[in-house]
Amino acid sequence: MNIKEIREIIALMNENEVTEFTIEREGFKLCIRKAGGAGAVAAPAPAAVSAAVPAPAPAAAEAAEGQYIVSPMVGTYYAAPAPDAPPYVKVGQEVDEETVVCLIEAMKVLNEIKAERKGRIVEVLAENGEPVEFGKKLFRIA
Amino acid sequence: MTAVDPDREDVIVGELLGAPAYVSGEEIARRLRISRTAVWNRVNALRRLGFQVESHPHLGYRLVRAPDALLPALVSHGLVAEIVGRRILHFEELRSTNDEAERLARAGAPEGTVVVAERQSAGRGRMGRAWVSPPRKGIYLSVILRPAMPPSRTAFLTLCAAVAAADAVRRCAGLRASVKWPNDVRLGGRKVCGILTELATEADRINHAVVGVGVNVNHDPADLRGLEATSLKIESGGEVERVGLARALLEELDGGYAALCAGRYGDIVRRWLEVSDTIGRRIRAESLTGERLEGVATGLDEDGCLLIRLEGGATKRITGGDVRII
Repeated sequence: MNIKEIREIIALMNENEVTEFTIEREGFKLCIRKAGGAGAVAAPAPAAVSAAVPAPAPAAAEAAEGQYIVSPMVGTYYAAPAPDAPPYVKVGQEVDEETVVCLIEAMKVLNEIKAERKGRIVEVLAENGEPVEFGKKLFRIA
Repeated sequence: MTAVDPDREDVIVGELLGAPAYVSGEEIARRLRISRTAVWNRVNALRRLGFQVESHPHLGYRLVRAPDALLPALVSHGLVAEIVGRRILHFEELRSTNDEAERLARAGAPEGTVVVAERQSAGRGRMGRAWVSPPRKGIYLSVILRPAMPPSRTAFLTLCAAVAAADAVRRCAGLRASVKWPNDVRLGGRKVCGILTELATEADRINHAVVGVGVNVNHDPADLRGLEATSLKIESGGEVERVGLARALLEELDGGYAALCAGRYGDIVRRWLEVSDTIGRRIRAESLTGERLEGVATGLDEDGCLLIRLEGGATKRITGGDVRII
C-alpha cells in the first residue's frame, strides 16, 4: 500500500464521515482513527503504517486511554498467580475480554484483573510486586 | 430407587430437629404435603447420609443423632442471617470451595450462596499456597457476595471476615482468638483460620467477591505437622461441634457484611481493633517479592491499611504481603 492509496482512504473516510478504518494483512496493519478528532493511532504490527487525519479539534484523551489496562485499586501488582508460576500474560499475547492479565492484591484481597477488551499486549508497564495506585497504567494493549 | 430431592430431605431434618420427641409420619406428611411413603423414603435417605433416626410404629420418627456433616439442613437450622447462607450447597469433596464458588458466581449464583465441602483435595491460600483440608475435621466454605462498592473499598471485606471468624471461634469454642493484620485468625500465635478473598471486577465495580474461610476445627497435631498452625481441638482439648461453628460463622459474616453494605466502616475498624493482636506490636512486613520493613504497628488508616512507625520515626502504610509479629 502506498501513500496515494492511504490518501484516497482518508478522502473516502472524510466524504462518508467514517471515523475509523483498519486493514490487516500478513505483516501489515493500518489503522486510521478520527475519534472525536484524535490523530491516527500507530499500530504495532511490524510494518505498521500510520497516517494522520486532519483533526479539527485537539486530540481526545479517551482515545489514548482506551489503549491501556489500568489498576482499579490501590494495591500490589502481581504478574503471576504464584511466585513460581508463569505470568498470566506476555508481550505479544492476544487477549480477549475474559483474559486475566494480572493480580492486584490489596490487604490480602486478590483481585483478578481482566483485559476487558480484545487485543494484543504491547507493553507491560508494571513490575512484579510493585505497589500501584488507582488508575495506574498496567498494560498497553493494541 | 428414584433420586431424592435434597431440599425435601432438608425439610424433614428441620421437622425432626425442631421436635422435642417423636413426630408422627402422618404429621410430617401433612405439613410437607407429601405422602407417608415419601416421608418414609426420605427418612431412609437421611439414614444413608448418616442420620440415626428411630422409627416407632405408633409414635413416628425421632432423630437420635445427626451425622458429623455440614449438611445444609443442619447448618441452616436456626440460622439467623439475612443474606449469608440463603442457599447452602454441600459437597463431600471439592478441589477448592473458592473455585466452585467462583464458577457458580460466574454462572449467576445469587449473593449469599455458600459452598461447603467436607474435604478439599486442592485447598489453597494466597499465591498458590496450600490449605490443609482433611475430611470432616475442618470447616471449608466459601461465600458469594455482590457488594455494591468500588473495588478500592473491599479491604474492609477481609477485615469483616476476620472479625467474623474470630467471633465465631470465641462464641463456639470459648477460646480467645485474635486477628493478625489483616485477616489471620490465631490462637496463641498460631493460625487457626485462614481467609482467602477473591474479587472479580468490571471496570470500577465489583461483579462478585468470593470469601473463602478455612477453620482448623478438629485437626490433630499430625494433620498440621510442619505448619505454624493449630486447631480448636488442640487448643481446647476436646472436639468442637462443626455444625454449630459453621452456623455461627455464617451469622457473624452476615452481620459484618450488613455493616459493610451500610457503609459503617468505622464500626468495622473498631471491631477489628478489639480482636486484633497486631497494634502496638513490633512487626516485620514482607512483600511477596521480598522487600522488608520493620517497625511498630500503630493503627489502621481510613482504607484499612496497616500503619507502621519505622526506626527513624517515619510512618509507612502496608497494603499487602506478609506481616509477622516479632
